[in-house]
Amino acid sequence: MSYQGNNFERNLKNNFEMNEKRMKIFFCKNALSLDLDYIKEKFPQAEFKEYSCGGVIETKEILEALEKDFEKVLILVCSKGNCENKIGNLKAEKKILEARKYLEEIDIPTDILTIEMIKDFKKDELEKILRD
Amino acid sequence: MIITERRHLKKILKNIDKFEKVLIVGCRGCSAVCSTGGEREVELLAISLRLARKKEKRSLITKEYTFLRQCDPEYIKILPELARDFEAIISLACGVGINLISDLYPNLRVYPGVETLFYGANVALGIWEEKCRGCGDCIVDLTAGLCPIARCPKGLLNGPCGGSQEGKCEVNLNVPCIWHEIIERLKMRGELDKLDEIFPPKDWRSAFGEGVRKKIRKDLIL
Repeated sequence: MSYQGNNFERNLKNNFEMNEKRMKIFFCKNALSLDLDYIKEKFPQAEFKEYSCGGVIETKEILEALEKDFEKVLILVCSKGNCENKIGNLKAEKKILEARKYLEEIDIPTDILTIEMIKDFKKDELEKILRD
Repeated sequence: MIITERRHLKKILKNIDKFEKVLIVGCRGCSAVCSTGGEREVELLAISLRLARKKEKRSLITKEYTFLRQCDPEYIKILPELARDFEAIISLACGVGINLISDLYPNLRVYPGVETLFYGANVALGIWEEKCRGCGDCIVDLTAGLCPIARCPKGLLNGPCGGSQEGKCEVNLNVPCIWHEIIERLKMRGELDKLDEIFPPKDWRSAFGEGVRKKIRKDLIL
């Protein structure tokens, strides 16, 4: 499996069509209070992991997800100024930046790591993010 | 504290290019405090190197271990045993740790995982500043505790130089002129007369005059 250019995009598309779990989503429970069952059903290729706060998501876990052949990692945390623990969302952002720095140095596209900061994700918003 | 920074992964990958089994060793001393060589960074490096190899469709087996310190033979005694099945070692300690490993275990191939920068202090979260050059002939008793050797780009012993303007260093205007600071502080303390003293030329032998520096304290030798 390649992480580069068109091959990467093609693999991602193929895997999504095969319904394999290809995207890892780390989310803060305070940012995503909606019922996930519907989303999980609609996007079977995504694997979700819940955290008590975005601040405890570790860079190691982000990179490990890629090592385990997930082709995209998405982090969903509260928007700036709305973290219950004040800076958990900022810490999550730092972790993504750190992970991207490692990827950049080994020529893996950094856009496979994404962070979305929304106060309280609505079903439609989340669907749009996952579709995109 | 010895300040280190993470070494670019490409440099590390080049060093271990021909190896398939690599031991990565961290240090809970200075480099852990700098967030460059503790357990967390050891794990991140291991995963990143494996990812890089995976991308090239080549395998890499890593083992991770973090020593309490790498600058003391006692703590790294188990290294040969740890490294037995590995072709190379990446050390996330400062240059002192890597040199000690190389001195003690010449048959082990050890490569740096960090760049060693300077002796410094953690002045704010994520910011380290050089404070000492380790010259071995300290003069900060005369300079209000501020070291002009480490903190003046010219290492002047009789500053400020003509380039100092409004308390700023001519080399970098974002940095205060340390000699300006020294004089201001001595004035404030009423100790400016300390600079009237004519002292003998600095003994640079203790810095780099007689080869590798060594300190022997018989009172500690068993």
